[in-house]
Amino acid sequence: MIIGIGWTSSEDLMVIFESGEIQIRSLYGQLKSLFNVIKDSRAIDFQIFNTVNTYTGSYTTGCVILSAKNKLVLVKDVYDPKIQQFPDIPGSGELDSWCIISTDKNCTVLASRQNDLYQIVYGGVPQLLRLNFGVEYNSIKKLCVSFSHDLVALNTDTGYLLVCNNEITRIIHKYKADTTETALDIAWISNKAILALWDNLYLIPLGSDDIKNHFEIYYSSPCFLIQELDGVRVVTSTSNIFYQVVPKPLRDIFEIASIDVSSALFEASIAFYENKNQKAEEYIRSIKEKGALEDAIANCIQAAPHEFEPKYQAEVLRASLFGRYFDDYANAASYVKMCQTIRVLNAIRHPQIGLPLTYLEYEALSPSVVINRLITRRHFALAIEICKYLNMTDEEGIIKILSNWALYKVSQTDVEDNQIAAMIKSKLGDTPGISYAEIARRAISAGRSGLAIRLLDYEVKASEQVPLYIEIDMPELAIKKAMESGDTDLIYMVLFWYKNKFNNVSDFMKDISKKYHIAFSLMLQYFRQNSQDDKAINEFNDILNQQNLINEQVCSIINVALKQQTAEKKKQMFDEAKRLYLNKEVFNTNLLNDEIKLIKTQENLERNYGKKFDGKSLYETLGELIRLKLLDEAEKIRKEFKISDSSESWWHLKVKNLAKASCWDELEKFSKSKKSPIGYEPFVNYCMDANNVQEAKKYFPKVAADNRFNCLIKMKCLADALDLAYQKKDIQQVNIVIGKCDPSSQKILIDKAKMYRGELINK
Amino acid sequence: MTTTSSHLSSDRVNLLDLKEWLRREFLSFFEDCPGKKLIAWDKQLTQPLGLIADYRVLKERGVDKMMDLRELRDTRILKKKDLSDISHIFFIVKPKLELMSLIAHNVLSVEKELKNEIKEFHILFVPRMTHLCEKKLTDLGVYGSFKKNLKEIFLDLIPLDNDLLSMENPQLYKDLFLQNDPTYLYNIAKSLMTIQSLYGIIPNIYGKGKYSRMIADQILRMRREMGHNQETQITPKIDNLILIDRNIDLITPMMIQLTYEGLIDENFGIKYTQLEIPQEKIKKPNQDDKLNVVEMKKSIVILNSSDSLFAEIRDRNFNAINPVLSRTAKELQQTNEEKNRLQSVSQLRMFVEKTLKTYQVKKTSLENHMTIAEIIKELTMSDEFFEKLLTQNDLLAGLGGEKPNSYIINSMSRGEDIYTVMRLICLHCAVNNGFKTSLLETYKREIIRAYGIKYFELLNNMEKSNILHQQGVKNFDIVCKKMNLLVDKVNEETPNDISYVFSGYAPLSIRFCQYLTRPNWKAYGDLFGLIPGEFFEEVQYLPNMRKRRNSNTSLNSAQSGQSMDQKMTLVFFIGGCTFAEISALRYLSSINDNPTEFMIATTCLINGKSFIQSLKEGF
Repeated sequence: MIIGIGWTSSEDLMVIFESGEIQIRSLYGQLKSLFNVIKDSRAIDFQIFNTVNTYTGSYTTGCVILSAKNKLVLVKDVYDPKIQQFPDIPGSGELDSWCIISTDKNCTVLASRQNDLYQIVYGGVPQLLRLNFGVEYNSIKKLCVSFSHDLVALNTDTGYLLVCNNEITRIIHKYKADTTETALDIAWISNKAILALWDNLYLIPLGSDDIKNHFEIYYSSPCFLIQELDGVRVVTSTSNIFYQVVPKPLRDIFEIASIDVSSALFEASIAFYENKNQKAEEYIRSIKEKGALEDAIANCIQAAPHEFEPKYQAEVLRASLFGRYFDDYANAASYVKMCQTIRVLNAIRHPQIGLPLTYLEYEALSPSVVINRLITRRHFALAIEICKYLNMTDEEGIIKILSNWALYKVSQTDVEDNQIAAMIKSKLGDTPGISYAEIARRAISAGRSGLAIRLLDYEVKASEQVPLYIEIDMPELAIKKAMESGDTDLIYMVLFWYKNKFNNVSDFMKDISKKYHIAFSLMLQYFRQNSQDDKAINEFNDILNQQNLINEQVCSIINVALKQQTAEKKKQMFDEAKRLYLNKEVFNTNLLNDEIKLIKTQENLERNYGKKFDGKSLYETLGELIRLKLLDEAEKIRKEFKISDSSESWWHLKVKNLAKASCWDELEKFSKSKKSPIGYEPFVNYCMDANNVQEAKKYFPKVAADNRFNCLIKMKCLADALDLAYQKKDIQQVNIVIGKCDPSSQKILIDKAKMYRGELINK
Repeated sequence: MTTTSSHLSSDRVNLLDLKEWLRREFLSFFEDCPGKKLIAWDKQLTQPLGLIADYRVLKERGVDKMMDLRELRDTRILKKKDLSDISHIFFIVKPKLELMSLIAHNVLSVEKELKNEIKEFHILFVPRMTHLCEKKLTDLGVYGSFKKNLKEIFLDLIPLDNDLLSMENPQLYKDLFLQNDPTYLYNIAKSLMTIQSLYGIIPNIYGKGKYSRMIADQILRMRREMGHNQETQITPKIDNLILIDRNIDLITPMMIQLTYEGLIDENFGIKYTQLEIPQEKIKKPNQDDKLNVVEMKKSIVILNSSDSLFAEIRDRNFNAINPVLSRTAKELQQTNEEKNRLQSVSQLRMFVEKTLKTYQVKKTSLENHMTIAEIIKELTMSDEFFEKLLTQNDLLAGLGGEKPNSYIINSMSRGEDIYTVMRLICLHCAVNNGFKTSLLETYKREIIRAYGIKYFELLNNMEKSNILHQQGVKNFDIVCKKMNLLVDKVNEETPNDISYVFSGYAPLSIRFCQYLTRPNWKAYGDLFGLIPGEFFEEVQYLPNMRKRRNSNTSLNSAQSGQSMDQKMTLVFFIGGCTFAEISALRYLSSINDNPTEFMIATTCLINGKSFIQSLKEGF
């Protein structure tokens, strides 16, 4: 059962059920959210209240529910419902009345039961208030807080209406009604007066000493009082009348016998424009004498928006304009701004729009909130016009309106997808800041994936598109857009989702390898980086195999093979790798065959000579054998691996290692075996590496003429080198000799060299 | 770890802004969490993040302990005793799945041991969080432990010097050029967007190569996605962006760099501007010569432009640094003598306050560089080095032909360092526009015979990423001639051409940039076509107000002679660049009438060895 309804500050309907359920519904009745505040009881009463944030001026709607067990449950913000319990109310029995005083600091309940009045602060200890009201009463039947939460009105069973501050420490006003009935409804007009409903409507101004002072207003019931920022709206079945304290600027002008300068200015303009008499001049002069023309103009400008009738607005504005003719320093800014505000106010007050806001309310809400309210009412066109008129920023204005318009369009199920998409695109275009994805998301939740696809096509941000394509199960589009974006994170996200559509990884890889090149590379990277254990490596190898990436698979096997401990296992794995080529890659197959052969050879060598050759390359093995003077073995292997005995590699290997092992006889024998394909300079060099000048010199005569200088240098025969250089007239070489000389011990040689150099330069 | 940032600041495009931005981002993660913190790092990130914020700064923000995440495994997992007083545990990692498992183990252990204490866990992903990592964390059952504390910091392109940015990512070449993993393209594009958000939209984009093309497309797309209302309002400070795929010029990285900084990198490797010299290489001070009283206090030297001496010699040909070193030595000596002449106490105090500090800094710097130069000199004086250069020049001159080069073959049988051999083979291949099958096979067979089957994969990878390839159209000699790559008369001391960096070879990549930034570059259009890789240009639309003064959109506007001031060009190497190339660009910037100044960005700083090494498995 519904126990009450009310509005939130963003104009959603709150519906409170006896079960404790609270529903938030849009202006059109659509359920937006719901939550339950009571577990094991039922709701019997409720209060909805707004808390104003002192810094931003925005309002937050909250509510307090009174349960049948006399517990008070607080929800401070109905859009972010957190259920909080007030401390228990002392004593037992039903409450007579209660109300909420909420500021952004704390939230307080005032509750009355018979004689007692309790103050219950959220998170505090309940207090029994002891203020002597100075009147007789048995119980307080009604409590009503002013809009600003500063003042509280209490209605006693003896017909008194008492006004206190919100702490209930001070009595501000006393009123005695003619009846002892409880008032049906009480509301505050600003903090200045109270409207109370008994048999008739009574207007009770504050600040009078007469406790019976009131104005009676005749009303045909039923009627409801709605307290607003600066007045009370009285709604009956046939009328909607707003009561407010006449704003001061208006009073200044129109109050009977007003002596304010703005009143004079107004009179002046009436005299000039309507009565066409000279009094106008008198008024102006009197104002100017007081030096108050600017004040008068300003007050007229301030007064205008408080008028509801355009006719009167115009009259007051005209007065201010009239004043400006006499003001040498007039500044139009405030006038122009006010005219704009009034135009907007009049536009939204139009019966077809139906937002009869007062000027103060408009100012308090801010134009941005007013735009929100127009959007809620689907007055998109007016909202856009106002945005443009007020020069609002795109975020606050156009984007918000267009997006909401599009969201609304999407929910119009009677219009065709194509048509809606085209409409939205034509209106929204490429307006920056518009999220087509957001609109598409709404389309999806409205069950219109066809429309969503069309809309998503207009979205520029891939990161927004892709998750929605996934949601509506469009793998091709999702992958395509993700790849276009180049954002690999996004591509991976799609791919892992897409992968689940396949029974096994290899089908999946087969699929993407055909269609999506980049995606395929990425998945390979993923498997590559994640193949840490053997199982994963095998899986990865399978994929490589299926995708014909044989070379990479071979590499992967080789890497594993190299880590194996036994030669047997290694051979086995190299063989496995080799077989992958299926005799197609002859060169690589041969390389692997050679490796297997090498391992076998090394095994034999190890067996025969007890030396480890494990892990050595072919040349390293040969070098080692030569150094071990196992020349026959080396020769055998050379033949086996088809290394020509006249190849440069073989000669280098042999010369280097013979010299290294100081096998000088063998070296000499070798040098004479046939003509060296590498010349004889290396013989000299390798001998010198072993620091054997004697041996080096043996080969020097055979060194080709061009290389002799270098050999001499290497052999440290600097004097000979110098002679050779001089002979060849090579200054550079002479310099090299000088550079190689030790300046302290070879002074003579240096001098000689310098002399030669001088000679050569002079030539 | 360096704390000063003076080396980053510059008048035109101040990279200090980028550093400050990164620093603020990074530190805000700690500032948002009150209480003591423990950091478990991915070791690979300590250096790049160290360039952004040092330990002292972290400590000020409550970082109490730092640990290496990769060590927090098995029994060394986070325990109760590690965590007394600690309220936040930060894992700072690259988005790698194996690290997620490590994190999960630690989180679960902590949660099990400390049931009642509340510790907050955070992961900071560098450069970005990925769905895969989130999924992995969920699978491992720890996703919930992090609540909303999964954050990312887009630290990818790190400012190393006032004109140099690097991602310092040696793995990138392999992942991108070999495995075709486009992740990095996205990251590169993102970092360029960051650059644009700080220094304005770059009006002109030029590029060569397929990955450059893809990055340019990404940038244009990201800009579209962003919508112009979110765009930076900064007047463009960079006029041109040149994107270069490393693969368009595979000759240059194979060449031995002959600039000072290049040689340092060739011999020791420079990482994050840090040089670590192995102690044994440092010679005992030579007492005889006064100038050579060299004693290195530490073996780590910071190499950036805040060291004024280094700034002066880094880009010089190694043969031309001596004059600078001895001049500096003389200056220092003068200062020293001045000190001895001082008489009054006040003069002395002035000296101590004003001169002494810089004197000390300069002295240390001179000592360091003399030591380094001496070590390098010894290496460059050797016969092997000379022979290598000779072979390199022979190959470059096209003398390699279709036969295996005998120096290369001999080096292999002699068991020379494999990367020296590989570099020469690659050079041979590049100069020759590829190998005939038989030649390629000979080289490959020899490598396997000399160095073993373990290089099978490296060879395979080099082929797959096109560093070694079959012969295509032979045109290098034309390119060489038309782009004037081989220059005979090189002035190493006062260079008049970029070819000084290799003593006679002008790096192709830089020649390309040089010609492209000339006002009449369109005349070279056909020539650019001879270099591998697609050439393209894109113009980015700029709202009128943001146009740079005197900068009428594209390069050729300078033709009209309106603009007298130098433009600014950012060259981005995708796949790495060498110090020699940087030096060549700096040389161009320094020429007064050059139409543009250059800034350099690269995915990694490379030399021939590190470049080839990066293709190895498990690198």
